[in-house]
Amino acid sequence: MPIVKIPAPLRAYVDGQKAIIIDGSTVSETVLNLAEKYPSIRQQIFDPEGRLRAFIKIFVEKENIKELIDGLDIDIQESDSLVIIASIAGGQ
Amino acid sequence: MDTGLTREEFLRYSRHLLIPEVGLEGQKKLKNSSALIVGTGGLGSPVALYLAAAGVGKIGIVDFDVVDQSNLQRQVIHGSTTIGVSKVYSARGRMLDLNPDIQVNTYNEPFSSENALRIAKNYDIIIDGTDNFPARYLTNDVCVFLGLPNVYGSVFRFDGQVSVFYAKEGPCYRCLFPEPPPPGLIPTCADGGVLGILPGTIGTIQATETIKMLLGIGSTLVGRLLLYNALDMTFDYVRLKKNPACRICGANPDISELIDYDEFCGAPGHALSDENLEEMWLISPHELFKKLSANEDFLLLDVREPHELEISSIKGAKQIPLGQLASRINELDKNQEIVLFCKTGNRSRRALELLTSMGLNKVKHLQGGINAWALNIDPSIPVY
Repeated sequence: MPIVKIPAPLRAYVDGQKAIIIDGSTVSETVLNLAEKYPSIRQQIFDPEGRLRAFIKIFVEKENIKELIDGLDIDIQESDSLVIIASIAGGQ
Repeated sequence: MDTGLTREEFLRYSRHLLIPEVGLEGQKKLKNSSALIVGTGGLGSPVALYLAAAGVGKIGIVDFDVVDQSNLQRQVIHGSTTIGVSKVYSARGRMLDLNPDIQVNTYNEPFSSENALRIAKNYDIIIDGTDNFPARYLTNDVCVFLGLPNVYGSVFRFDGQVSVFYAKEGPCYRCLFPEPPPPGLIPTCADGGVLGILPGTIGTIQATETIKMLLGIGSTLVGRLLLYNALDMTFDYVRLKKNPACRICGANPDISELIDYDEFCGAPGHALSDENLEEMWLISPHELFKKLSANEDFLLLDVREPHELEISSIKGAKQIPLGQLASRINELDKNQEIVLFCKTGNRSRRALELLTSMGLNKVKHLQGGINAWALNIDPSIPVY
């Protein structure tokens, strides 16, 4: 099953885990399964219309899925790493 | 022979002169180059120190803040003797002590749509050491309009991100993040904390990228986002590409001048503001004190993280961290009044929105959080 890496600001919504093994054969299936298992993370990742939020990015094997033709429907392999990135602004 | 360096400078920069990739030509390049550092806090501190030490000839620093005790856990350019001093003057003193041969220009004002282009146009490269979304979008847009590289870094707890956004050669910040998070959705360092050394590591990488860009050497982070985790000690990266639909550097841009960044990001400084919140959702520390003294029937709910209870607490409060609130909603009685609180009011405001969206309407949140409680009601507990 693919491994999903959770960015620091969203870890509070998945019991503090950094990486979670979640079932799924496409990116969207995996992320929806994640949201089902951890309901609190849903509103962080998806807007009220169910679209991926603009400050959240998902990378499969280092490539941004938006730049891949199939986007969220892209197939993922058992061994793939799915990296979720959230925009952070801290600097002071 | 005009070498461009003084005898003292040959000695000062001898370790650079020995590296073939830098050498005399490179050192002269640094001497004749300029960099603007926006923010002299956690990130800006190492950037300013290392660019000064490296001999970047003209360095500008922008900040409107003054040095505070709570800064010194990570803002190593300042010190106990400069508490209360404007950060730009505190930083300039340390930079010129380290290297009196450079020029340091100070801008003791907020970096804003009114002054940003005027200030930035005098520099070769901009380093983003800011701490909020409006300032980050402003810095990006200024760099795109002036055709300058934007050396970006940001931090949270143990994690950092670094990249060089340079629209001439690759993606800009808006290509990656077209919009900021809604206010309050992503915690700030003031709410979530940051390991003091983390901005040191990230700022040092920003300084490294700045020197490489100025010298024109090596592979820079243009088109890559570096992801650092201090706890696991891992460096990873993802590839970034230019977004053809980017509103500022894409094929058909619709942003052609600096905008109102507070409005774009939803709130001043991007903190949740109580200004537009009706009084029925708010409670002051004094009102809460009266309620508790009168033994009124209500639930006092602390939405901070468990480890924060060791710092301060209010007697009788139930604790559910904000992150668990949605999944533990069944622990709350819809008909009972609930008063939410956190450290300063950001997370409790977020919790208020969450609970009301889930049908709980007898909810208020404590203005200013437990820190305001400590200041106004219970001086025995610390402000943090």
